[in-house]
Amino acid sequence: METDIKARLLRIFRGQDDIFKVIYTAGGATVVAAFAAFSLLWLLLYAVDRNPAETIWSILVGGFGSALGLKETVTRMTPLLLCALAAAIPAKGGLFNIGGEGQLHLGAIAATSVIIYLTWLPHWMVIPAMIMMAMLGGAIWGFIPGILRGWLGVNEVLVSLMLNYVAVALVELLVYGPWKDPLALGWPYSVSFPEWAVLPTWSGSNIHLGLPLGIAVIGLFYLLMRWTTWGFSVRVIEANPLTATYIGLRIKIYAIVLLSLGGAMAALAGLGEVSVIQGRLREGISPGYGYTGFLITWLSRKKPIAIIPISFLVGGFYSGADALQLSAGLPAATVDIFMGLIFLAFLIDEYVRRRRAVAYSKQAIS
Amino acid sequence: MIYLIAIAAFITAVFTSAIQSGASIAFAAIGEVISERAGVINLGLEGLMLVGALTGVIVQVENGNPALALFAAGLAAALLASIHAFLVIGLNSNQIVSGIAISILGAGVTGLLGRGYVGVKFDGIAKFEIPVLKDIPFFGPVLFQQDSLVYLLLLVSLGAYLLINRTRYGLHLRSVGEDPQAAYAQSVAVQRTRVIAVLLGGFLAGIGGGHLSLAYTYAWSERMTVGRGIIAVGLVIVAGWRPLWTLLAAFMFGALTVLHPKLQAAGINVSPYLVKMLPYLFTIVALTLATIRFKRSGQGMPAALMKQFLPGQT
Repeated sequence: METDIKARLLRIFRGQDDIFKVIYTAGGATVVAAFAAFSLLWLLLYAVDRNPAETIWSILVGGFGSALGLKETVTRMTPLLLCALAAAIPAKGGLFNIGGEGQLHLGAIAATSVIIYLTWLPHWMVIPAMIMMAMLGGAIWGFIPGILRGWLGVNEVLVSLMLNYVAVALVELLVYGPWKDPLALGWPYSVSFPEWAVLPTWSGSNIHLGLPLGIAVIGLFYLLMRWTTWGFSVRVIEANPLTATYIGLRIKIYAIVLLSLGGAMAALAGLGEVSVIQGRLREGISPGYGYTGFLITWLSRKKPIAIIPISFLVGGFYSGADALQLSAGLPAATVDIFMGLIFLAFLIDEYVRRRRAVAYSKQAIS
Repeated sequence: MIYLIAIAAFITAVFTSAIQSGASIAFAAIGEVISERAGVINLGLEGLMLVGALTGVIVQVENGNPALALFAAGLAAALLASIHAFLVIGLNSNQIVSGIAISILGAGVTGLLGRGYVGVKFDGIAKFEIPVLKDIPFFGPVLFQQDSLVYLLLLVSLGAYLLINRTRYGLHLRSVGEDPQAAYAQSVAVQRTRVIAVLLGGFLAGIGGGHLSLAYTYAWSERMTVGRGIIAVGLVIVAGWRPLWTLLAAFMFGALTVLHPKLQAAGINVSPYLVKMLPYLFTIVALTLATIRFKRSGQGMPAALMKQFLPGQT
């Protein structure tokens, strides 16, 4: 009897017991890791003389506690979802796209170029043209690391990261220079988007076309990956590039296409920011959506469907912190800390899962 | 004649500031060389430099001892780097993803804790002029009128070279970076070697950040590194994972960052935002060229870089 208990405890400890298997697979380890992250955030808030419980609570209430807060959360969710998609599409082929931030800015620039240069367009054509141009702009920004990676084998992580800073400088160059609106009283802003260039929004909020577009792309991409030869090829490339080469898949082309597609997605986020949220091109249109999007992709374990709920949660944190910033002067840095900590917790959770998979396979063998 | 003097003064000024500006990146990049030669890439350099920069400022303001401030900067960054070490060496997590998380975390923590130090004035680390030598034309200002950290940097790069190539630990470092299984079979403590390398890299990144805030900008501002950490990672590849070449690459980068104010001082007008892009574009081009070169010669990158290591499993 005693050895029974001991054996059972041992199984529980290893995560092989039935009860614990259920809890574990429901994400028990994730909860524990997230709790650890929260405690660290708690300490940091305490260190800057803030009441941690009150702060965290008001962030949650601000993000999810009211209809207004929820609307803002969904608004914030849109660029996050699109930027996560920008990282998720290349990730399916085993590539890292950390250039979401730059691609977002390029999308914003390309969309603004439509209202500045293509003024002769009939009004009903402006929005389709902006969407096309933005996607093209972002795709070019994704194409650069794509072709360097595919053709010459240059590390796409560093190139895409570096291009983020170039894109931000490009926006500055334009809004301080040729695109500066003379009527903006010296502020570095482009001209405002006319009403026919504002993406359709859901009544009384800033939730715009970008969200359904992003969700549609997620669905489309899922189908593409699941049911087409192209999707299967991408899966082969991710699983084993060497095998892919042997069976004659042209990895280079796939790298270029995947990174360009990703860039086009992040560009849609930029389009939404300049067209709906800001109403003009200016500096600081993104508080790091590109980087957060990359983390969301990994939190979703590269499953496109999972991006939707996770970007909703993160969006809630953004909007909650935003509401707090208005009232209490808390910098957006809190969101960064929170994301960083959650992510480290997630990596620990990944490890626990891997270990358990190994333990199960050993059990199955013996 | 007057033009010649002006050009000479311009070149001297560019070289002098190039070294000042490149020094912080050089510290970080040399640290990254050590870490990558052991097989661990650390993309969190951006966050580590920020943590170093802020810690340096805090200790400098509260305590006033620049040497202590610099040391604290290194320690704080090494502390953050230890998270990276734990995740990628202890738990075999993805090195790139962990690095990005460290970067974001570092930016967030410094943004929150550094609010009270924005715009605070302090003395920082002063210039250290070597008496007679400083009067030599060109070489005087470029080499002998720098802050004391630049001289330290020369020692550090030389030290890193010797550490990697001439010591027992360096041999272990290179072996775990090339083939950890073989090293493990030879009873080299793979994980321990890597942890030390990552912590050393983090320490140097912190020193780099400390140099930035204490000896270059003399102020703290949020996200003040603006991509220097990422560029440092790029320069490591450009320099082919060799410490002394890294130093050279960092100074070249430094020249690009100071080009604009110097050009403006010389009366040539270019858009500052155009010049701002230059360092990043330069790094991309150099990265591409370096990749082509290393692909041809088939050497350079440590073979086990970014690979997981599980003892005894191939």
